[in-house]
Amino acid sequence: MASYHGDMETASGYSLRELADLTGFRQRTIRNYIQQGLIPGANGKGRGAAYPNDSLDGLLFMKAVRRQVSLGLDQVRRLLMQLPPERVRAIGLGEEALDVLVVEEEPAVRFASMAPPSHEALLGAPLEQSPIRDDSSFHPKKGLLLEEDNEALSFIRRLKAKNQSAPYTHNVPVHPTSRLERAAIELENTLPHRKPQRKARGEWWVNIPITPDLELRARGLDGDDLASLERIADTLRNLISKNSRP
Amino acid sequence: MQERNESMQPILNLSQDRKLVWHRGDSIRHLVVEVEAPSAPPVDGAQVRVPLNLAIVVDRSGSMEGTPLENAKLATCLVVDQLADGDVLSVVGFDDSVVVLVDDQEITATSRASIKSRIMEMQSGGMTDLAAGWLRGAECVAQSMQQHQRSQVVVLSDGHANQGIVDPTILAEQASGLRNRGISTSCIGVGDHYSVDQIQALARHGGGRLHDAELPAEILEVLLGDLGEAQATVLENVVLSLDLPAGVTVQCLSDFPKQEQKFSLGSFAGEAKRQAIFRVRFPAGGPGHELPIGAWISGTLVESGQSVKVQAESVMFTQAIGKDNSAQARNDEAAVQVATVWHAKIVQRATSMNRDVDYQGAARYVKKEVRYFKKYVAGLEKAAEWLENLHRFQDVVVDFMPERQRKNIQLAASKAMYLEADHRSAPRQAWSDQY
Repeated sequence: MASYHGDMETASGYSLRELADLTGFRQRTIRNYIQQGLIPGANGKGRGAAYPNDSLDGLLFMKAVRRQVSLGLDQVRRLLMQLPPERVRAIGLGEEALDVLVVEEEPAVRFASMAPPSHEALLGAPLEQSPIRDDSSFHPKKGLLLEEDNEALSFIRRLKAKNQSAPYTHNVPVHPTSRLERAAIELENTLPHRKPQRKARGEWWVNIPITPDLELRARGLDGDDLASLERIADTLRNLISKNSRP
Repeated sequence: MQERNESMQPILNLSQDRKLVWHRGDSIRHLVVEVEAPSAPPVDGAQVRVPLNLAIVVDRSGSMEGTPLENAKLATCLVVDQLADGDVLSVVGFDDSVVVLVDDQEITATSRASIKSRIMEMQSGGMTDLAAGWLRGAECVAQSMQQHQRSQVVVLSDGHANQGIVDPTILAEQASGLRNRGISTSCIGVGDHYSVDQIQALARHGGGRLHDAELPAEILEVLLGDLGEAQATVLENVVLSLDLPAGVTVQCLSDFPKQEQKFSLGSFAGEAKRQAIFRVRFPAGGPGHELPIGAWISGTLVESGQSVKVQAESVMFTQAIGKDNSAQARNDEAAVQVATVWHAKIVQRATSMNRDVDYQGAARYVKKEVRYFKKYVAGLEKAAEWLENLHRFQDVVVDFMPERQRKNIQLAASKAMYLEADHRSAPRQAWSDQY
């Protein structure tokens, strides 16, 4: 039975069978994760193929995360890309507790290694309370909530401030006038802002034909980005067919 | 004829498909939780409703140019006619910038015309900053929040947010936070290209409903339908909590937003019913050992603003030896409810995988689920029909599916799962006939 040496980097890496033994995933499941770009593939081919520690860390991380929280593979992939490797390893090995998905303060989903937060920290007001029940907090004349007691308003303003400073917002300070410009900006917005997926063997490409002589080709797009690319392809197709009409 | 629930308290019922579980552990049983909202309170023989504080947030990005935007404006003007005096309306348009066309306006006999003329001024623009538009609409609502009022944002979009906050997980968290502060969000997806993930995240976690308007003409009926539901809401922010014995774990097949063992069921119109199906796994124990599962719901009565809490009678599972466990009878009524939701979930999830271009994964998932599903439904009246549907679906999901087909399947599955109304008047194929 293979054993994992924690932070000791093994010189030769792991075989697929060893990865399966260490993590409890079936070999075909591991191959599937590699194909989907969730974990790195092997260095080399054939019988001598060796998988790096990152592959093992990724698998243990997935095991730990999915045992505790119901997350889709897309969300796990996002976490694997966002978290530094040492945290992926620590969470996978159970050295760092995986308690909750933290909602407040951080713009992106992250896992916290801290005591479980209070319900207020996660969702704000306790669920049983109506937010506008306390008569003392109403404006005497208009019946409106006083601004300092208006929890919804202050929550929205906090969100707006946070969203404006979020690092992943795509602000395009131009007003495109033509459909082609809009399509070009949308294409630019869709593709370069994505963090590249970890390179994996067998990763797939998507080809979207526009005309018999023209197609869009992109690597490893997920559902939303793919839908966006399909929309761009539709726009280009319409433009080309309109322009080619006599 | 069904009796009206005039008690002003929601009704909560629990049932189970089987009562015995194997004493050596890992038995899986299903728990069916049914919630029925109270009737709307009548005053002097007529139904009364609380004032509505509504924001309609319209996507005016380039892709809405032409008929979709014109119909959205027309539908919003019709909403103005449907609102009663004393209701409050805001109208926000968004592309890469946000424009407030109507800010927090009380509906009166004299204000309607000017509100409508401002709505008709909306012009199409560029990109799609869904989050900014939605939050601005919510801010308009929050500015005029009052007691005994229902606060709601309705987002109407045909697209894929490509500016600002675009991550469905974050949109879900923010919608959930807003719901807990008294403002719910419903969404209407227009056409074939809207992002189901983004607007579904807003609607499901925002305590509202998700609607589909495939054709521009349907924007009107769907928006008015959602308004009707908002006006008929009697109970909101309903949360179901489960009380589980040690070692018992549950998975919600109905996919209601979850926080620990609390599940958000959203808002309810008068006498509306909703069901949540849970897959329950039991630990090892000893023959005769009893494992009770309790549940209660909490929510806010819209009319009075009062919190209500209703507890259901616990259901009891008893650990038994293998022979007794195998010989026990099944509660077919509960099993049909479970199978309906399970079937919908299989189709919905596999369709999502198909959208993610994971065709093989989708086929494998359906095949694996069908293996268990087949055993579960054996002996039920609709078993053959369900299985035939799933076998046909398995052949379809393994290849590219047009986006409209995916949306139709997922929408129909969602309606079956959440017992929601479809406001579109044009006849649709049964969801099993979509493939």
